[in-house]
Amino acid sequence: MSKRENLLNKKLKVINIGIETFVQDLKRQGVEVVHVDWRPPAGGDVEILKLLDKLEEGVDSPERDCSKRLASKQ
Amino acid sequence: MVVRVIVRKNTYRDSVTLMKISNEASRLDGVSQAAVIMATPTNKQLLKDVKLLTDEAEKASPNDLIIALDAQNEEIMKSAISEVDRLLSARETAETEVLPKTLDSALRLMPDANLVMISVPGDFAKREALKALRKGLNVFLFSSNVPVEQELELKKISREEGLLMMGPDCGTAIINNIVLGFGNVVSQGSIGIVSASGTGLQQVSTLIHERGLGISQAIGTGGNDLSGTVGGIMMIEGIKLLEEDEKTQAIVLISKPPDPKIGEKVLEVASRCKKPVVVNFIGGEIDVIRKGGCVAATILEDAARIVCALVQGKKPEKTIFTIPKKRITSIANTESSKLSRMQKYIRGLFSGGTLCYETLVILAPLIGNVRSNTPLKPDYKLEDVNASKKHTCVDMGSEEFTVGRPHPMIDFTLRKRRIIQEAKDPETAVVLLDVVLGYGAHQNPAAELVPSIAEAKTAAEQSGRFLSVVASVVGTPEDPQDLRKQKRKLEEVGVIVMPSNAQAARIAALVVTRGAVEEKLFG
Repeated sequence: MSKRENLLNKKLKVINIGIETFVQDLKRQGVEVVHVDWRPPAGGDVEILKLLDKLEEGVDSPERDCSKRLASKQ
Repeated sequence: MVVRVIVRKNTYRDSVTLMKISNEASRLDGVSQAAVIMATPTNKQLLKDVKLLTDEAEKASPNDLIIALDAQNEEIMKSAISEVDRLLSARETAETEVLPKTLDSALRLMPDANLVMISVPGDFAKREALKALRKGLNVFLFSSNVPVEQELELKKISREEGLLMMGPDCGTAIINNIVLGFGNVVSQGSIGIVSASGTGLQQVSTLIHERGLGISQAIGTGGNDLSGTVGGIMMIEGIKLLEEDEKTQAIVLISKPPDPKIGEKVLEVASRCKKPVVVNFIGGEIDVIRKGGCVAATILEDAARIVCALVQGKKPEKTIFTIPKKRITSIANTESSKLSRMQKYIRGLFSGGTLCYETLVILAPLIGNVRSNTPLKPDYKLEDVNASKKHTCVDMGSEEFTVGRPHPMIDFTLRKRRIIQEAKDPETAVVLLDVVLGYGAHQNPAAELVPSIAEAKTAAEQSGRFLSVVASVVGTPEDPQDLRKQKRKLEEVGVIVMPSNAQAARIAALVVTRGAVEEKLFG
């Protein structure tokens, strides 16, 4: 069963990032929800953020490749 | 008068929260204007336009908050500032002691989370969605203004990982009977929906509910899913998912006309589906859909009607109005008999983009092409979105109206102003409106609209005219706003409230043509 199908058969457990009123709407429907107190990263400077993302990708990718390889062996 | 612009460093709040605070502050006695906004480049430009951009505000970053107030005197100003500060510190999530700052820390609080709802500004949306997908979480991405290339990247990953990637620009979904974003309280049932249109999904699901049936799952794909670039990835995955879902007996697909090649691709998958699929590419080529072996519906109400009949094992009947013809013609005649000769045009003011588009599709064969900011044919594009010309339908949820302010389903300011503007035009015969209820939408849309509609009707009357106002309400009696109450409030000020957007468009055509389209409609 894929994670997608799994979602349809499971109780929703939601993390909300952004508009806070969605939290109330979900709670009213009995959904467990955690709200993230999000704010624009890099002081909201999109150009700096692009550079940060590039850096992060560089750092991240060997790990991701590794975890993919591990997953494919299982 | 005292005017003050204050910058609160490192104070971020989302646009909906800030709109609510701005509205509350504007209502304070002695305060003539209030704006509580993030210091984004767009918002700073707005302040500059009204000459309120101080040096300090200009230097502020998108992480800083700007409070701009115009008050009668210093004392009122002081109390207004402290009220805004109080509202800013009163969080919706007040009972949670410490809020996590990132997805990672949220996951520590909820390790078994299975869905992330993201509604941050478009520039930051992909970043957050990507993090969620990489953590193996399904995503509902409400944010708009995300480039299609980024959408494609996200959807490719979600497909590989077997995750849902609803959006960007996904207004609504119903997963396991839970409404995400803007959506209505509908019964659980056996009809599955995959929709590239938020209000389209809302209209079809509420009409299914009204017919006594229900929704198994309603998956939103976001408005660009069926574009040439994105290639219908989420709609195709959605069809496959609902095909395997035991609770789903029949499937409805909803979208504005897709990119032709992508439309074909989607139809190919749909035609191989073991369950019946009703396809509603609003105003799209019916023959193409039928040739693909699917059931075609031209408009949203037809999609609901046909899929209900399929599930019930009945033959779908053609319906123009669900109210008897005699009653319809009587209502239309009463309205049109009060119009003056000069009053010739329909002015549609919509909060739902798809509802606006569907209206254009319905009106074109009845009264000819209608001008719009989202016209069926490029020749009919409005030169100025703020000035109607002949028959006009405006999608007030589109970008030109929403930069720097929330969606018209929440913030009625512009629509109310436009209703009055249309009423003052001696050529306006009918003002046509959609009212959308449900989670996410305004708590009481009728209460917002009624004073402006009454004012518009009075303005017309004072100039010796009668203004006809026709509306449809998309919602259910179970919605937080209660469909019946909303309908009653509108009817009290003389609004003709119809059971669907399509029927509202048709009766508006009957009124404006003084019944001349009766034969075209009823055959």
